[in-house]
Amino acid sequence: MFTPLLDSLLVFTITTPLINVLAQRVASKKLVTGYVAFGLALTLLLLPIYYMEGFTQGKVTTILNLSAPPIGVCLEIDALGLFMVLIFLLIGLAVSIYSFQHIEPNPGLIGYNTLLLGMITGMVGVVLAGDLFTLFIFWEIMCVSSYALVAFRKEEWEPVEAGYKYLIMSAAGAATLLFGMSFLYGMTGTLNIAYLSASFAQSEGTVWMYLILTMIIAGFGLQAGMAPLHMWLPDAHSAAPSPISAVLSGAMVKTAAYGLIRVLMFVFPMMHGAWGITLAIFAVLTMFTGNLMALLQDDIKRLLAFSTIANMGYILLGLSIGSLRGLTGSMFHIFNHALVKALLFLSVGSFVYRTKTRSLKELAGIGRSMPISSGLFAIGVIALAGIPPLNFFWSELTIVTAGVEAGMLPFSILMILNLALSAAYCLRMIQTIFLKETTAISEKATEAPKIMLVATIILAFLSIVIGFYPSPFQDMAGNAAGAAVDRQAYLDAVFRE
Amino acid sequence: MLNAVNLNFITFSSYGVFGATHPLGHAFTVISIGIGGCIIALGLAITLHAYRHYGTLDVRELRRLKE
Repeated sequence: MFTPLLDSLLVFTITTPLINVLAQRVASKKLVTGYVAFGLALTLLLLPIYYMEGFTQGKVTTILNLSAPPIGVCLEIDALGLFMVLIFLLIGLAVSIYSFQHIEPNPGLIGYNTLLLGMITGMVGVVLAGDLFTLFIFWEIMCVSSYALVAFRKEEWEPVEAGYKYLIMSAAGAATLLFGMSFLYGMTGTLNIAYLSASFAQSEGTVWMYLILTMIIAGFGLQAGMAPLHMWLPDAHSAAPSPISAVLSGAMVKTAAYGLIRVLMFVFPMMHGAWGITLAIFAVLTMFTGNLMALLQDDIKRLLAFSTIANMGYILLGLSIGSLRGLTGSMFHIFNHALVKALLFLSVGSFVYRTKTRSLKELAGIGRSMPISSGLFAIGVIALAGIPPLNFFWSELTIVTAGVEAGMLPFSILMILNLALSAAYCLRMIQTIFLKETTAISEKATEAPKIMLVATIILAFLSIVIGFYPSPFQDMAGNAAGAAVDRQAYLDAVFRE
Repeated sequence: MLNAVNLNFITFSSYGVFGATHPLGHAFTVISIGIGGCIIALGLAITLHAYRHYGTLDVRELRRLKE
């Protein structure tokens, strides 16, 4: 119906509840989680089979549904979208393997697997959409699933309040985004990204266009955790079950960053002078908010959530530079951050699974009783601190040098200052986990179940490989960024239809 | 706010040519009403659980996370 990727994901999402009924008949508790992991692995296999050319040569595929653009809806599959799909499927697969053990399989938790798969489907749909209409529908599939997943442990007060806050803020953000889209529709009569790009190519900035730009940056920015709109993020990330925190932090906020890249680089490239500097200021504000607040936290998941905010700041700074190198840095950082933050949330999830506490004080010295999980956690933290042999160093370096090249030296300096701040709380985490005296709680902890370790090890392995051998991954990110900077292939693919 | 957006789409869809309407705006409006319904349903479900935990729906009370 759509493309092999989305078809496979949609079929698995719809059939998961049916498999759940079957699983209850045969009393096999892990059947459903296995089915979801199988679905994600299968989709990941489909990616190179069908879209290898999209990755390597930047081939753009257009898939029409119903009728031709500018009115009909369509999917556009280019290197930028495929790069994001790869990230989402990798994180989704790791998380679904992890969920085998983490989520207690009992009848009250039927929705978990369906919602997880629905959320991944929504994210994949967003990045493959060729018009804002399709984008918005998949965006809401993603958001509605994530509201339910954040408030998943409804028998406790914290997830309910966090989910409530997240729902209210994110729904308002989505409505703002939709408002911006309605004005775009009013000005051009279409929502197809290629047609919007062509019709705005010669125009100058009018008041309406500034209004649209503000609404779209606010709408996507809210979901991306941009500074004045970031309040939902630490609550939602810390209250959600740990595997869901990994998906929220590793993939969902990246979808919002993708939305910004797509709309700003494709529809508003001629107004870069206006949005570039605005976004750069917000990016710096976001970094400082994230890093300074992270220094003050005791709740370890909240600390990681604030660090996510800071990293979104780096990604937005790369986007605001708007050059090929800046966007390469952004895309590469999106990939690295997704891997590392999922790794951190999953290994923290193992701590929480054994100790039932998230307080850094009570987790002190857990490195002695859970050596493998803590070792994996340490790999993630060292990467997060931007220490050279690991993957963050390369993407952060690319963003900083891109800033210097583009004549945005003050912003680059501010970013380096922020990297130092982030190293401070990373060292504090390592010191607490490994060097401090054990507490009564951390002493009793035993090593996490094997299946949880497997999922975490996959991510740790990937981040070490990227750290020592970054060039193929950097080239892939470069291709994705190239697709955003050089729009012609994308426009041609639609107009040829 | 969602209603304002829907109204905006309907207005713009009949704006261009006199006596004719553009189908995309209508399609979008119908779907956006459906999505709005989903969000409200989920929101009410979460509100119900919030009431069970807090015994009130006063938003000034729903701020234990701030402490």
